[in-house]
Amino acid sequence: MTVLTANVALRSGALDLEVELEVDERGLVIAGPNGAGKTTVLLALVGARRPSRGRIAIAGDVVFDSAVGIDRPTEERGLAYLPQSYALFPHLTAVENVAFGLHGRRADRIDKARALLGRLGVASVADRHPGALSGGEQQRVALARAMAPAPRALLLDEPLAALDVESRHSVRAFLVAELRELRRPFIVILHDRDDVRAFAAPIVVIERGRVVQRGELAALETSPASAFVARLLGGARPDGN
Amino acid sequence: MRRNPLHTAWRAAGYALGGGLLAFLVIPVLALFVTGSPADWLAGIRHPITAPAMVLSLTTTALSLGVLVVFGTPLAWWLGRSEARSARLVETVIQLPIVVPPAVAGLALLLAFGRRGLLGTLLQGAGIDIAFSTTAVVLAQVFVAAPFYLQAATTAFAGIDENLLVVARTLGARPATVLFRVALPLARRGLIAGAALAWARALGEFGATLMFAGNLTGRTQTLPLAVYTALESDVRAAQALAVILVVIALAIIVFLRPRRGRQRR
Repeated sequence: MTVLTANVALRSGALDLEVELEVDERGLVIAGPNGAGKTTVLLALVGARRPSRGRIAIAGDVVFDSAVGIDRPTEERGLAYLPQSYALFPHLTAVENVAFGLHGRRADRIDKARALLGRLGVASVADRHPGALSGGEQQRVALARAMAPAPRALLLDEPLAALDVESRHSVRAFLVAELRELRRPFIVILHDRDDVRAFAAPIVVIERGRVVQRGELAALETSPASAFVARLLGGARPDGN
Repeated sequence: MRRNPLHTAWRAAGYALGGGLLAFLVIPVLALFVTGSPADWLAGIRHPITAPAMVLSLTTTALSLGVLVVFGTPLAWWLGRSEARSARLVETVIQLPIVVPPAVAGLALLLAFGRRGLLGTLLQGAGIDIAFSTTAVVLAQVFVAAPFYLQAATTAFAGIDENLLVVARTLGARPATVLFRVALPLARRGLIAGAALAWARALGEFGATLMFAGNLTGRTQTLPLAVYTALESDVRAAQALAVILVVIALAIIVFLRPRRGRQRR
């Protein structure tokens, strides 16, 4: 079973981050108030932020270790990253976006990308630019693009936040099913109780750069370690947005 | 019902003032065209001063634009993407050529690269004599046009969402690939607009060129200098050259005007 382990410490502006994570194919939900450092954790994992100290390993392959000076560049880490905005390349069509991470002849890459879009149910939008896609379509295209190069793990930053209420439920069910089928470690940042329940994965709650609680959903519900956790799992959205 | 907040008399005054300025801006340009006949322009174009100046202007501006793009694009990338305080300082420094009078820029270039200038002895030792050469023309153009390209390119690079660059790297792209397949295509419009403005500024360069490069036919006499020289002997030639420059300027304005239509975003 592939496991992603990470132990990162870094300072960035007002944020003083120090967290330890372990993720397997069941996935991991990261929750926490705005500004807690959730996105920064993902950026550190992919190598877009450099931890002052720590160690990151994927299936035993160390991609970062401050103690021995290992810091592999982003493109060699094999981690897929899906930002909240999806970050589809606006100058490329959907199928070109997906083909971006593939290798080989252009025609072959486009064929593979088209097939992948078809599998995710968005073959019909393949030749459109991202600006002409709905939120749900954009998310599927971004997911297809992230999956295309067969990453060793997936990191998703609030993948449901940009969606309207109607598409949210169907996209969520789809996303959960896809991630389960992929059988790769994944980390997903969430801030909605229903979303957290739907993923049914272990949870890590980060507040002000520190892990305040970790465990299964049921354990967190029974004995929340902070007011934030109680509010997160109790009902109303904790951060009010 | 909302009432028009401006009284009719004030509105009339406003139209008169604004219209007056507009007329002042348009009339001289019109005068260039209407006071000469096509026959005059043809004669002007055939004037011996015209062809060498045209060739020199086109080659030197092409060179200075090339220099600016090659050297300026990496600098603009740093200015646009860095959050360092030094970047903000440099951003201010590169505005200098806009506010420094061109004649002063010419003098400064002379004092830096001229025979007895700051780096002059060093350059002479290496057998390089820049002042009053075609190289000096190019350097003067680069100096005055640099801010226009740098500013536009910096803004274009700063506008790129960092996530796009990070995602491209996670998809296996090396930094150079990210630059050529993501960053440059996304900044393309800004880079082209900046290059066009910089080129126009280089083409119109007069003061710094005169001070640093002189006014030698075929070597340093560009179109604007030729207009100045022709005026002393043949007004028609000066006017024909001026018309050429204005037509180029108008073409650039039309090319750069905000376009409607499809926005890829």
